[in-house]
Amino acid sequence: MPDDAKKFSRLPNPSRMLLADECPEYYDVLLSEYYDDLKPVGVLERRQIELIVRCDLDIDRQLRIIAQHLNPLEEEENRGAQMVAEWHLQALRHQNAPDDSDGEAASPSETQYLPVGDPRLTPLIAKRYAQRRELMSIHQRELTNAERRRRQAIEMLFKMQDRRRGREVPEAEVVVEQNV
Amino acid sequence: MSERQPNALRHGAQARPPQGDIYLHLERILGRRPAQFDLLEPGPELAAALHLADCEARLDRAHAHYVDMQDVHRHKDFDDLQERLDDMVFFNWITDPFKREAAQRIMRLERYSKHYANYEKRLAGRYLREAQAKRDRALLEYMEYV
Repeated sequence: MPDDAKKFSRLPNPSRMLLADECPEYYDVLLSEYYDDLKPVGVLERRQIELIVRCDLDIDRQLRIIAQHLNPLEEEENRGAQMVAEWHLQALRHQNAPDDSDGEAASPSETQYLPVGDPRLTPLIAKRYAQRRELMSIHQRELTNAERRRRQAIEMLFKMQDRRRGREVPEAEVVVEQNV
Repeated sequence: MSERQPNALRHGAQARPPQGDIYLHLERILGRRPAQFDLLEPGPELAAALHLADCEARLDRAHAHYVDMQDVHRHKDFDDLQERLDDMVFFNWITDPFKREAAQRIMRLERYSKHYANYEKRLAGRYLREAQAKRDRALLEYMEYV
């Protein structure tokens, strides 16, 4: 990786473009691998590679989010229903009963991971998909958009590299033979 | 495309990025710090570079906003309203069972919180696509000069 590329890859700070579960070191490793592979010259080509890396991360991200939303073991958050349930509990509680609302807060439910390759979960996943159809369509569309952006960014990079290589080739001379 | 509302141009993901970000991109594109004098009356190449730098800074901002929105599944304002309603239910004036019932029904309108969160998610995706398209056009324009 060129020295100035290291400096410029921190512009903008990549963690601004990452979620909490994504690692800036992985971003740098991916960027470095792309630099080795595509051999960019100049800041414009390097910037183009940054955008390709962002698309790669976004594709991974969307797939991860879709998988998480389809996890049938995950509890759906419904704050309104929780509050209403608390009101009912308050109303049913005897006035002399000790108030334990200030005690330990309910611990947030931990994410449960699915056993891999269990076909019995398919109906549950399908049900979860139906419940979150709108969200699924958004993430699937974003996945398609990220793939399209990546394709376009790679195409643009190749175009820039072709232009650069084209400029390096000296202009051809037209030779006209006198005897023909 | 319909015209943007002025507030959309000034606030949020589509607001004008800070000058510092634009100049950083400009410095990166030109490979040098441009003189202040040049910026007063930029030639066509510098003008194209400036436009590209502006588009790059906007793209970064749109991308950061897009990433932030991926993790948002509920609308913040709606949650805030729910909290306020939750507090109000314990006041005396809501002893009326009809009012109490109305408050409980409002609390069950969870789908609006999710709906608006999804709407903002879609909007963030659109902002990113627009910023990317503008930046690609600006890049092609700048490439005419290099």
